[in-house]
Amino acid sequence: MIWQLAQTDENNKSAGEAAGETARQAGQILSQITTWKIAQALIIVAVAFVVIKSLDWIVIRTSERVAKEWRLRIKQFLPFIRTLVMTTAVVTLMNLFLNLSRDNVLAVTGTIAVALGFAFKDYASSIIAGLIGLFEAPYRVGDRIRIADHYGEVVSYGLRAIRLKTPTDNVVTVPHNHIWTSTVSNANMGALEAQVVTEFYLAHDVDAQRVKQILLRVAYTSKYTHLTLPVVVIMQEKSWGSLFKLKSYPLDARDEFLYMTDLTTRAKRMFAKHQFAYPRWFDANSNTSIDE
Amino acid sequence: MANLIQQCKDWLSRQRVFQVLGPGGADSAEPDDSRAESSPEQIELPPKLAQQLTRLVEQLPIHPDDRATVQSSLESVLAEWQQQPGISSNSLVILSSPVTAVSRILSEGLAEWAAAQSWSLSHLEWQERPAQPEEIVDKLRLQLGRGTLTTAVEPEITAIPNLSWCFLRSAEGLDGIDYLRDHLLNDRTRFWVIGSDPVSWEYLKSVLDLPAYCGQVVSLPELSGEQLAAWIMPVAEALEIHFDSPSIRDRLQHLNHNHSEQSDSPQRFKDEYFERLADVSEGISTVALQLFLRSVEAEPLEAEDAQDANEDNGNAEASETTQETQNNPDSEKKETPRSLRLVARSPKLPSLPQLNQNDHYLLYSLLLHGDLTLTALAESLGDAPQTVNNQVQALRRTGLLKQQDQVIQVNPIHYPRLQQELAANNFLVERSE
Repeated sequence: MIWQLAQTDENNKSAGEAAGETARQAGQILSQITTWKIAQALIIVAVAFVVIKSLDWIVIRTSERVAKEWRLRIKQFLPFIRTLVMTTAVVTLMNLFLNLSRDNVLAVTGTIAVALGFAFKDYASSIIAGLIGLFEAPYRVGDRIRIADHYGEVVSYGLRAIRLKTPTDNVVTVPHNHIWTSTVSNANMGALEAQVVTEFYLAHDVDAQRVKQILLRVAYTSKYTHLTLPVVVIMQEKSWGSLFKLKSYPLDARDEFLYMTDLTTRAKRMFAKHQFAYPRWFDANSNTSIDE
Repeated sequence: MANLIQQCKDWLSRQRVFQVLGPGGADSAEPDDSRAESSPEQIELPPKLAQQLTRLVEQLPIHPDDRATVQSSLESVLAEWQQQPGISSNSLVILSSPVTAVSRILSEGLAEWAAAQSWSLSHLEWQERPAQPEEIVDKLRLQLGRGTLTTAVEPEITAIPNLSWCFLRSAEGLDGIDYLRDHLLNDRTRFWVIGSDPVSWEYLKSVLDLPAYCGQVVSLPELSGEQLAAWIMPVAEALEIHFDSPSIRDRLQHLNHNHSEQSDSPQRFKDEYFERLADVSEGISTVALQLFLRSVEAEPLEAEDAQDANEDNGNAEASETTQETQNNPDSEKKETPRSLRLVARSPKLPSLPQLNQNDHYLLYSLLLHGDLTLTALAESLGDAPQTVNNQVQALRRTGLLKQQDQVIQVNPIHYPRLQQELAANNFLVERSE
């Protein structure tokens, strides 16, 4: 019993000593923070910010000015460069304030881990997802993706999130941690071309063969069509009429919606000329969705 | 201070890396280097002289080697067809560049040859594309259709001088090619000679697989420096155009060429000029002519030379005879002011202006069809004529397009670089070597 009390007393004493040691170290670290170091830190942050913005500008501007075949390849550098600059800045800052010895690294890592565990769990998750995304590449800058109910072109790949430019010119910020739980639909996976599917709804009694010929001709004569990639027409019979899907590729995936408009406009003109009828009504009770 | 900033800006703008990133991009930031190495004494050609030079160049006949290529190709393929008319292919396709008047080469080359060989020759007598694309089939049928033949007919050669006039890239504009493919090319009593260009040929290959129905395809060969010299020198001699000494870069490029003449002889300058011209123009006759026109400049004569020139001109005027032939360039009276001499500088392609995606679409459409009216261009682009006209006028101001009457064309001098640019941007254009 006495031995146990003595042991407990010993433990309390050593815990107190450890706490005291940590406090002493923290005090030592704090005492080393000088005005000059703060100034240095601010300069490092400012330089990193300017470097990132400059590199962003250079990469994006260069990629938009070179031949289209190089556009996406150049843009792929963007996230890597940003990550490199940010990592360098963070390591430099930590080295400045924390004197990154082995003990300090362990102490700081533990502290950060606890802090992140509670306060910045999602933030840390997004950063880690972003780093993994760099190598796994579910999306890259310039890709046209659908993620978290949003569709658009990836215009920026940040440390925490990507930015999507939607067809309505809105910019949507989507954190990387969506790749843990959501599906990512990527239309071009780093390629310049992305298939466009344009749908046409016609009555059951139209001449399907003629419609197919017209749609192929419309696609082949569109200024947007990438002629070396396949053009295909698919037809499905629905309860409300016939659904034709024209699958083709624009020269530039950015022209996706202009391309669909061009195809639809010119096909409708030909349908009118041939007096093709449109479906008279849609079967509201049908389980068949036209999105299928 | 302001001067210092301006100097700094000027220095930055001269640096290549900043040119790439600068407001105009690589091409627009690049100075028009075709004039960069000119001597400071150079002056613009007097308008009268410029007109005279242009007129002489326009009067040049088609290149004799182009004519020879058409005729020799036809002879070999035709002989085969005559031996086995039911089996052998009954067509020959001649490809020239989209900025070369293939119709003129075919018409002149074939007319002369058919007359000499006593062949019956008919050809599509069009000078332009029908105004409405849906009329193309009817007009083709009217000119070339024979209905159902009940009696044997003599074999004949039928020429389509420019296949581009038989289609327009629109939903109904390809019906003419369908008609040719399905009806005419199967008519074994005719041998077809079709003029086209690589851009429209590749397009029709991709869309309609037309080459599968046609026989041999012959591309007009690139013209060499010697061939260009033989063709253009009459104009240069008529106007006493001198050839400038080549730049150091040009000399280095042609270091491997053996020149028997002395390094600084006028003959050497001339040879190097035409070698350079052939190289830069990629051997395309129309591009070479435009480059030649662009390279000619005037420079003031030294006092002694001017005096000599005055004496020469005086003698020439005194002995001038009336035996001049109107179409002979040699007979053109030289109208160079006596204080000037004409010098052909080293030919260089002009830079392309900064082009956006819509410009690419429009320019590809023009290369695809060779020439188009505004209405036809708008139809081929699927845009409103007013919108297209705005774009055309902007491109005309940059010198990329030419508009004569209602017909719009790409300026041939820009073709080599434009071809590269379109090929690099996914368009179905063959990339030149």
